[in-house]
Amino acid sequence: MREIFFVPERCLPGCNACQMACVAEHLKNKGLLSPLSGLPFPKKRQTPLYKHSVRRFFPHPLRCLHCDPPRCVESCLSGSLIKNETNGRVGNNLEQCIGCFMCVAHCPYGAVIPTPAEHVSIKCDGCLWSKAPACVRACPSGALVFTDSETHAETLETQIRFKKRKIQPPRLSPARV
Amino acid sequence: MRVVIIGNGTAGIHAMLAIKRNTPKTDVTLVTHDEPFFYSRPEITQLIEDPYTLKVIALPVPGEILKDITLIHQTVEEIEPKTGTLRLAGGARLPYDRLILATGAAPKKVKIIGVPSDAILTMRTARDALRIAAHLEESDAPVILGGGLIGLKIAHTLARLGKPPRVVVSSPRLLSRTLDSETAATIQELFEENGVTFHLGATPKYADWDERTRKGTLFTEKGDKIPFDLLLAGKGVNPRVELARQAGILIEDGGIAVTDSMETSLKHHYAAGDCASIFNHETGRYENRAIWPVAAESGRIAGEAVVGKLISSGRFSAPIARNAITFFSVPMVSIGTVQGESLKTNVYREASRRIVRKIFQENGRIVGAVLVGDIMHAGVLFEAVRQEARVRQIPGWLLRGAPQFSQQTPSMEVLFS
Repeated sequence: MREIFFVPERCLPGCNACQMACVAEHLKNKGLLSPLSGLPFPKKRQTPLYKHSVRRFFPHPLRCLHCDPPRCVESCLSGSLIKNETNGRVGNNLEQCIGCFMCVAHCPYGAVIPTPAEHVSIKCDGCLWSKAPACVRACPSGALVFTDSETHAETLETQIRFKKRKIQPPRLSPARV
Repeated sequence: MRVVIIGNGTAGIHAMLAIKRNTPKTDVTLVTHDEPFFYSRPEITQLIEDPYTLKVIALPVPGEILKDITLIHQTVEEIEPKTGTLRLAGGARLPYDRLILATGAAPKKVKIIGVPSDAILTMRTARDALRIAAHLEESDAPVILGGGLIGLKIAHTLARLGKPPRVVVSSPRLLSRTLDSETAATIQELFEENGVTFHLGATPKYADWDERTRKGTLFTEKGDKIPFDLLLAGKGVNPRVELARQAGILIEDGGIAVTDSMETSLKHHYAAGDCASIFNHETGRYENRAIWPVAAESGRIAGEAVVGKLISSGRFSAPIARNAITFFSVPMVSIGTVQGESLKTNVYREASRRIVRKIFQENGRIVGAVLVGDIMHAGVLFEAVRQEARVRQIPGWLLRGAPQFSQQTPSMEVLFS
């Protein structure tokens, strides 16, 4: 199964293209034009929580590990959380979610997040309807990689080997995963 | 191989799905006396609000699996383990090679002198909810017996419908097994703001009830007089084990005793869900815990064990009590042990947003948590309780609930070192 890997060294802080792509992908018309043109303009997220998270970490989408078997899906009372059998990604059907938050209480990684206003739980669904997640497609610097873990480990090893031989590795420094 | 599952609740569905996903060719038969389709039991309070939501609360089951199984809408009268057959109501016989008992639980009956027991309505199935909805149309003063999660869930629904009920609780506070006293008071305040009246520490003594008008007065031992025209009870559930007991299967703690692979004391007979008592390795006892995630997990394990595809994934997480529920847009989660004198309590309060987050420690280990208002990271706390994480000091983000963008798999040792 392919996963999203994050390479912090390649990330351009403040780019946030992955976040925008995520929002656009999960809108009904798959575009940002209508929410941007529609009023009111979104508020600046300058809450202490947001500052805290930005100060310590890059925002990136590696929160859901799409477990097998997924505990959130097993605890879902309404059947809104579904694991896609073919690509193994877990998504939430928001129209069916009743906001009981059983999934929030069962995710060991804190990857399912309750929304206070809409009373549904949201999580990274890996864009389970598409070939690759939107954040990966949008990333301009290759900081987000969508591959299986063996291939990714091999790539990392190659990078480390280059570094040991004191040869400039191809384009980018090795990544910690 | 022919597998027969008794019951179409959570455990039954997850057992069926696990069997069909691992070995699609297995012959699966489901026998139920409830509605002959799959729906979510905790969601039936929606039926009281609107009877036409029966389609909404249905659980999605893949069509190819639904086509492949046999669903029998009939009551099972007897299990005959020697010959491997079920005797159904009406005399039909159903042979099986493997049997999964997912008979679930039945609501506890409440007896009050002066009221026939069938006049006290309970809620467990869709039919019960529709019956309550029918009675509620002519009712102005509904009274609920029991201040547990079921009782409060009914009270929440009635208050939202504009018929705030009176709740009679025999213990001195609400949710005495789920919450500690401070958060219970918060929840009580929340209900009282929405018009619900509570009679705490009140044990019903007897009642005057007129069968024709369906009106009456309930007298408690403290001397309260509570008028009512509809009595509802939410006092918890009893496992349904009559079938298993007749077949000679071992019963422990009120439920069917099962091993880690959900096998009962009889070979090829499995049990899962609310009717099963799962072995707790910590205490060395069988424990019955009737909550949804345990039913789903045990159902899946039973299904995998039946077809021999069980991959052992550590111990079963059943021994920990946990529940999540939302009342009047205030979410609430309770995990593990939440009361006791030897507990060290870490608290974070935010009165303006009605947030109380409490993490309980015993001998340096996290043993429980109560989160009201903000339930961020409840799952991380559940995992910490499950792994009995040793913590010197609770990290601030966990106590306050700030979002944590952690890339590492949060192994508890890393998280709490």
